[in-house]
Amino acid sequence: MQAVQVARTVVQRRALIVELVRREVKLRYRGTWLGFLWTLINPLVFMVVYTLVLSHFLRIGIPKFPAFLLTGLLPWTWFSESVLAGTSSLVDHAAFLRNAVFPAQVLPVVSVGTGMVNYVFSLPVLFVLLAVYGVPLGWTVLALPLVMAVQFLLALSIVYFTATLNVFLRDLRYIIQHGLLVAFFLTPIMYDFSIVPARFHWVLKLNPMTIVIDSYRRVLFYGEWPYWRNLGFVVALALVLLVVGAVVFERNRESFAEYL
Amino acid sequence: MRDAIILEHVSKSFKRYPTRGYTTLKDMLVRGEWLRRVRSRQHVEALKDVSFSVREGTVLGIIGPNGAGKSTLLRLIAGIYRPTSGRIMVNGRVSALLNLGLGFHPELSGRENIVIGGLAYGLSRREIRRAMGEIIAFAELEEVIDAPVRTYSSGMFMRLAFSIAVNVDPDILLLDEVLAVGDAHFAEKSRARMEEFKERGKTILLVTHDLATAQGWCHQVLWLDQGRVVALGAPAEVVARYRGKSVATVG
Repeated sequence: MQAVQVARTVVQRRALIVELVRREVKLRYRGTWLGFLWTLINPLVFMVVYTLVLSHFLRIGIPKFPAFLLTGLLPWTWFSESVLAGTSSLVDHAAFLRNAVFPAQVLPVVSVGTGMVNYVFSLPVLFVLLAVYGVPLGWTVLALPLVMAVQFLLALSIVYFTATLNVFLRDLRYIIQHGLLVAFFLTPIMYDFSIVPARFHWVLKLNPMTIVIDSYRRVLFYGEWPYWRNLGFVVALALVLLVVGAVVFERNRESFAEYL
Repeated sequence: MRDAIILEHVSKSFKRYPTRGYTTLKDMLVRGEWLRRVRSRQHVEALKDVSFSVREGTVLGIIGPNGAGKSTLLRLIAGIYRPTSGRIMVNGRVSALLNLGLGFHPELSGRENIVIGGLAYGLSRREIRRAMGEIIAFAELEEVIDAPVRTYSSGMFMRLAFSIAVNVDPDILLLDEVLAVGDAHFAEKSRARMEEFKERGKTILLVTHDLATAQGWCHQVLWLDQGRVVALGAPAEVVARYRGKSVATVG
């Protein structure tokens, strides 16, 4: 019931969500010289460094490595940014929540949505890079929006939990920050699932983002369809988490104002 | 006439910790403070068994000493807090001006803040577009409306907040001691706008320390003390009793 209420509020307040996402995207680089280009420059810098270290220093032989890497790195950036921003979203909007009639339910959606908009805006660079490395785009690219939707759900389901908890336990933000760094290495972003020895596969399989990143790779880089069954598993997991998260959020919503 | 607001046996208690509202992991683990905090936590009752109703079109003044629960009452009606027990029913769109200017984003322009504020109140984009000119004109901020609000003076902040709150076409307006703020010119304008609201039959709840306003302008006055309703009724009568009590306490 409470989960339905959250969903209803989010749908009703979609205009507010759009406006807040626009604000986040706009504000992020206000006052900088290069503005939105920074969204593209950050992953490109990583790409150059990782390519240098992994392909040239360590000689890990993944062909077309920059294109391979960026295919996984861009969605990961979306994921980690929105989980981090979402976790502190209630605390960051304390002034709104304490003094105004403001629907807190929309804030997690705003965080994940902002990350997604940045991802979409960086897609042209990815497509150019794929073309430069001669990776043909197949029909499988049609599955991209679906993979993105799965990631959206997964990130959102995490954020409803962490945002709620962070109101009461402010350390969570830093725990999440370190957790994301660990997760970055334990997700096949700069390497491929197939080159990991089988006895370690279970470590990667603990992490639903493994399936999501692998799906981006298959769809954009390898020109194959995702493993639907695995993706379906992530959707199921995210939906369960989302319902529980929404209930936890809703139960605590009206005490946020007292703790912020 | 319907009731705009109904409160049935509403109580609100806050958990008060000796230190602060939130925990850090260090407190919990290293200093083992978590248990101590839970043990030492006190329940502070801000409102105790409050029941009353407000008819549509009533201007209700709320008076009482500091800490009587006046602001808590408005926050409950606005839906910012949830009552610990009891029920609150509100019919119509609520606009609240509880704490001046807070809830603005400092880096955004006045215009952008109006859009976000309006959407947060539940207006559609079209309604906001229609109200935009009036909000800006009423606040007299035409020249700075596209500058970030962090560059505004506190008076400009206040004017913008007030102007948004009264121009989103609310059915119920909750105000926390605002009429006293601002320069004489704007105070006069706000008063006129409030008068217009009153004539259009809007419901207004006004927390005030100004007994003259409570007596002269409100239809009814609610006297709160230590979270309880002491009196609710005709302004002259309640204010006179309140005066008597205050004098007696001071004297």
